[in-house]
Amino acid sequence: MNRMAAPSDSQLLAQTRAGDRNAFSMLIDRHKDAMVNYLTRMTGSRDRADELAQETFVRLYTMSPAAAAPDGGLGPWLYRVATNIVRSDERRARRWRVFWFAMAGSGADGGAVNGVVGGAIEQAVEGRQEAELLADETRRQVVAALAALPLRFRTPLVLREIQGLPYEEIALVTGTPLGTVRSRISRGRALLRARLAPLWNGHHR
Amino acid sequence: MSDKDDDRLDRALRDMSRQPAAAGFTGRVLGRLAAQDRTDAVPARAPGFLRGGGARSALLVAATMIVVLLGLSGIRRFSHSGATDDETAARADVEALRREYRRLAADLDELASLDTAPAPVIYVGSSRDVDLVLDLRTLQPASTPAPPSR
Repeated sequence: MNRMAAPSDSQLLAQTRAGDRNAFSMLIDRHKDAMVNYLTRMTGSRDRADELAQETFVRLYTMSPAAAAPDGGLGPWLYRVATNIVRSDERRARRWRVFWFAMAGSGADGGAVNGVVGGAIEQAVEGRQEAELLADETRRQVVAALAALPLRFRTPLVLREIQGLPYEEIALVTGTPLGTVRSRISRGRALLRARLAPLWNGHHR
Repeated sequence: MSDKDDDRLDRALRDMSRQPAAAGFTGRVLGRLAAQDRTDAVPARAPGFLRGGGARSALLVAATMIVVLLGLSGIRRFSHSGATDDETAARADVEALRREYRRLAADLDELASLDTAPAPVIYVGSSRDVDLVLDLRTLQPASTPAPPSR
């Protein structure tokens, strides 16, 4: 039977360059889940990930054809752009924190906000099973520990352990040699284990 | 670190739920592009950097807009009584925003010129716990042997 094969990323990209937005929609649909998941684990925030993933696709669309002619396929190229966006976003966020701190003085409202949030959390916590809470807490700590890793360790670690990319592709995304990729993943895992050890030890006493 | 910790880490990473894109994601991206098209269509008289269409220019414009919008909303939020009585503070805020704009522009330059040259590191091998890596930067150049004495 003669079945029509789905168009490749390159074909869709070429159609997109020719102004076909349906082709671009298909490209987005094909890669959006991977991008959002990657960015969620990189940032620790689902909402932020959604915004940054949108920015990644907008960048794909606005890049000049020469700049966005991925050698190793569109996937690694998108991961690379997304990683650059995270890097830039984190740098900007650090500066804004300083800026707002300077503008807002000592931030006197923080305590009140924390109080309200704390109260809401306490209410939500009531009535839930302890095991479920522990599992939630573990997940929360893992997400936080992962998002707090330095970017050079976090990127290959998330790409490998969560996105499941092969080492060669990660080397392509990060622009680093294969050996560096492996050592950074190993180092990232060690850092994560060290950060999570108190939590695990506490639970398994 | 023990193997037990390693297993726990594997399990924790594996247990992280997949986070798919929210409904309407594609539409939102296309909406942003449509908005961008409208912006691009207007500036027959706009400065050259707006008409260039390059990714860098688009990024610069988007970043500037975000900075200004966030700044304005922040100024409004943090000013205590209408913001009309403190012109000096407002000027300082505007100056701070301009500084941030310049920093962002510098960031973009830096981003564009990111050095992707591979680090001089050679991966030698690994076991489950250890990766053996040779960093060439730590090596000393071999000393020149002294000429044979007669």
